[in-house]
Amino acid sequence: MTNSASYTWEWPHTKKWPRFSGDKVDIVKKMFLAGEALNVNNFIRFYADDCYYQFGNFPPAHTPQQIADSSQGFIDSCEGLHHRILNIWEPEADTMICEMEVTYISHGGKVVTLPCCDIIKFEGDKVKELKIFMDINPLFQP
Amino acid sequence: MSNTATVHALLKMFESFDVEGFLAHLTDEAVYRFGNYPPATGKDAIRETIKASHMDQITGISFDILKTYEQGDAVIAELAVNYHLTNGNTTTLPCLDIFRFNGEKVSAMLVFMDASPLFAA
Repeated sequence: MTNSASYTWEWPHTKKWPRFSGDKVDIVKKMFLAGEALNVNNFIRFYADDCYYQFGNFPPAHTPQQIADSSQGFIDSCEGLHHRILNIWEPEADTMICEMEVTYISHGGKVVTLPCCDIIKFEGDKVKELKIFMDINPLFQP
Repeated sequence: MSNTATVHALLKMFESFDVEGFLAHLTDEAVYRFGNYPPATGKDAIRETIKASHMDQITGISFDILKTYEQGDAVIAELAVNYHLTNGNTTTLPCLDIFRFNGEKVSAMLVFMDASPLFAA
């Protein structure tokens, strides 16, 4: 599998979110951009084979493939996604806490912006653990 | 008292519904936001918001503090929140709180969680 840290992207990922930088921050930026592209196969490249992915109250996924499978409903329900990063803390080695406002665009054109906070834990250059704390329900409401 | 110790104390106050004790640790212009609800600013608005929040659905609340992080003026607490429902059941939900400090007082408490299962119960 391609090493996510060295993975080459055609867009200027380090220029987005210019307030935030660093080796691990750049990996997170790339992961968010894969998410914003709604490209689940690129997104799951960032995860360790044995990982923990928890989105809100949904049951956690433990492998990249489970992340892909569990993300399908979400991908089917929106056509656009943007992370506005407000704060990043790195209180411990290999641990990042990212406060955001996430904007979703539904297929019907509805735009919702919701508060979100992630705890991201690394193992080397791979994401070992991602916990997403937010209430995504407004996206699914008519 | 360290900021992390203050956060532990504040969470205890939530468990005992000690709203005034909680408010005493806030700055006058403090912001409190729960989930996707609009933020409340100032002690009066925060008192109203906390007293109004899901009191019809629950008889009690307790927190399992899974982990706290502190950096600069921020304390982040990862919790499992146990809601004791009026029907006798308990619902446990994942939650993350961000506390921002101004000196020894809390200037912001932001609660990130999906509490919708409470309303479906």
